[in-house]
Amino acid sequence: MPPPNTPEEGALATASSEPSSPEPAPVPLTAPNSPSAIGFAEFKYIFITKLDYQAIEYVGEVDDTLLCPVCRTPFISPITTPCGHTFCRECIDRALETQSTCPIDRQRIRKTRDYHLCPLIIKEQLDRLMVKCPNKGCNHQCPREHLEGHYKRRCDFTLVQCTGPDCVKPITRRVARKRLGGCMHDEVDCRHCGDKVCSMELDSHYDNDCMGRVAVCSDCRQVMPNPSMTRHKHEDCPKVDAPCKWHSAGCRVFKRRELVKKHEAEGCSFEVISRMLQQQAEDRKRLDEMARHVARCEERHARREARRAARAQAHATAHGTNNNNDHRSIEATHSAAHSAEPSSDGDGDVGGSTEDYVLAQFERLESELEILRQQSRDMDARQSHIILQHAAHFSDQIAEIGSKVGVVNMHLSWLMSLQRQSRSSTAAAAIAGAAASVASGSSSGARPGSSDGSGWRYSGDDRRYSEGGRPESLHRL
Amino acid sequence: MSFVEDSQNTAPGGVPVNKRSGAQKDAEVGQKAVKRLQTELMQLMTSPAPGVSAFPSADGNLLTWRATIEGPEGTPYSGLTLKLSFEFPKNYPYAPPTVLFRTPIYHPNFDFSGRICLDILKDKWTAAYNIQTVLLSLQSLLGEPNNKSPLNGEAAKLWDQDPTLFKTKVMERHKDLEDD
Repeated sequence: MPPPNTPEEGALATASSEPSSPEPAPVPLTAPNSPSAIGFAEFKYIFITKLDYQAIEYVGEVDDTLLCPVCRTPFISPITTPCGHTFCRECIDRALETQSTCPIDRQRIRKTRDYHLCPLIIKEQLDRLMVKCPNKGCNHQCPREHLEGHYKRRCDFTLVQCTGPDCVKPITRRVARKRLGGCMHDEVDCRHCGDKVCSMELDSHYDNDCMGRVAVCSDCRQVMPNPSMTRHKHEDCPKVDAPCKWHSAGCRVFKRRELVKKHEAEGCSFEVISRMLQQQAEDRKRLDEMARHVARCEERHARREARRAARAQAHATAHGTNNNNDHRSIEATHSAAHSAEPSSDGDGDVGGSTEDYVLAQFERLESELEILRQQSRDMDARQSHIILQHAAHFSDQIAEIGSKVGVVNMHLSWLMSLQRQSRSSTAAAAIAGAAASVASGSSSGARPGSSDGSGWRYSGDDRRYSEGGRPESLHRL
Repeated sequence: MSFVEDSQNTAPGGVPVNKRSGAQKDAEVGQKAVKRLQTELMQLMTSPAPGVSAFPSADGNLLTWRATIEGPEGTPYSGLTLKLSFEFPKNYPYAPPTVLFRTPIYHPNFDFSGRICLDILKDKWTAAYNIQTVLLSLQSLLGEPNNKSPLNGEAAKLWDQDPTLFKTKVMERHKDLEDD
C-alpha cells in the first residue's frame, strides 16, 4: 500500500515533461502541507527498468524449502499444483509448455485450471525474507514485501527517463530530482576549466576531473586543483597525521607526516622486523609450494602403483580364464602383459625418480652447505692472520717509539746533571771573583741571543758558550 | 501488485516495448538459463555432493560445463575418475542438457563415443532436475546399469555372465584424461 502522501502508482508511470502530449501538462504534484512530499514524489517519473525479482539478492541463507525447484530461487508469486508441489507461477507455466506433467512427480496438470492458491503461510514467509535493493549504489535492505515500494517511490538510484523533452536515456532519480526541466544529457561548459561536460555529471566532474577549480589545503595551506586534494591529503600533505611506513610491523608512530618522514629517515627500528617478516612470508610461500609439489608427486606415484597393481591383477585373471582355450590367446595375453610391463615399469621409474630427485636435491643442498662452512672457516683464518700481521707492525713501531723516548730521557737527564754542575760551578765562581763578572757584563750581554739559538746544538763551542752565557742571561731576565 | 510498465508511456520517443521481438525473447530466455546455472554453480560450490563435481568450462561460457564422477566403491569403476561434458540449451531447465562421457568408458548404457542412454536426459527430463541430480543419477547408473535397453550389448551380457572379464574390459578401455 502506498503511503498516504505519495501519488498513486499509476500516476508514476504517466508521461511527465512532454509539452505536446495529450496528457495533462507536467504539473508537479505538490502537496504543500505534507512534509513527506519534499523528499520525493514531487514529479511524475517514467521508469526505465522493471524490478526483476529473480535477480535480487537475498540477505543470508534462504531455507531450501522456499526455493522453486525449477529456477532455484525463492518463489515469486507461487502457486500450488493438485499434487501439492509449489512453483513460481512463471516457472510452472513455462514447464507445462513442453510437458503437461508436474516436474517433480510427473502427475498430469492442466495449465492454469489446476493451479491452487499457495498457502498463505508460505507467502508470509516469502514476504519476510530480507533482500537488498537491486539498484547500483543503493545499500538499502528490507523485507521482500517492501522492496517494490522502496524501488518505485523512495530509492534514489532507480532509473527514470531523462527530464529532457525528447530524451529517453535513463538517469537516476537523484539526478532527476535535482534539476527539473532540461535534458540531463546536454553538454554544458564547465565554468572553471571550460571543458564540455554532460550536465548530469557536472557534480562529479567538479569533484574528480576539473583541473580549473582550485582548492586550498586546510592543513598546509597549499593551493592545488580540486581533484588532487584527496590524494594530497592521503599521500603528501606534511601537516596531516600519518602512520610510519613500517606500522604493519608494529611501529606505533602516528604523527604529522613531516615528523614521520624524519622518523623514517632516522631509521625506524621496525624496518628490520618488517623486512624479516616479509622474508619469512616469502619463505613460507616457497615452502608451501614445495609441500604441494611433493604431495602431488606422491599422489601421482600412488595412482600409478594402484593402476599397475590393478592391471597386473587383471592380466593374471585373464590368463587364468584363457588357460583352457587355444594357445594363440594365451600368447596374446602374454604379449599384452609384456607390452604392459615395460610401460608400467617406466611409470614406476618415473615415480621413483621423483623421490630420487627430491633426495638428490637434499644431498646437493647439504654438500653446498658443507662447502659454505669450509669457506667461512678459511675466511676466518685469513682474517685473523691479517690482523696479526697488522698488530706485529704496530708493536714494532711502538717498540721504536719506546726506544726513542728512552734516548730523549737519557739526553734530558744528562742535561739536567750538566745544569746542576754548572750551577754549582757558577756559585763557586761568584764567590771567587764577583768583580770580574761585573766587568765582563757588557761583553756577555751582547752574546745571549746567539747562545739561545745554538745552545742545544751539542757542539763543543756552543757548550762552552752556554756554560758561561746561560746563567748570566737567566740572571738578567 | 502489478508493476507499471513503461509501455504505457504514450510520449513520442518513448521506449517502444509493447511488442517484444522474437530475438529479444530469446535473449531473455537465454538469460534465464544463465541465471539458473549461476544459482546451481553457487549451490554446487557451497554444498558439494560427495563423488561428483562440476564447473563451467574455461572459456567463460556458462552454457558448457565440465564435470567429473568418481567411480563408486563396490563397482567395476571404483577408483576411476570419469570426465563428462555438459551442453545446456538456451531454454534450460525446460529442456535437458546434452551430456557426454569424455573419458572412454565400458558400460551397457554408454556407447564408445560417450553417448548416454538415460531416460531423464531424454523424454523423462523435467525442469526440476539439475546438474547435481543428473550426476548422481549417472553415478548410480554405473553400479546398476539398465540392461534392458543397452547401447553396448556385449557389456550388458558380460555384466551378468562374467563380472571379472567385465572388469578387465573396463580397465582396458579406461584412460585418464589430462585436464584441458
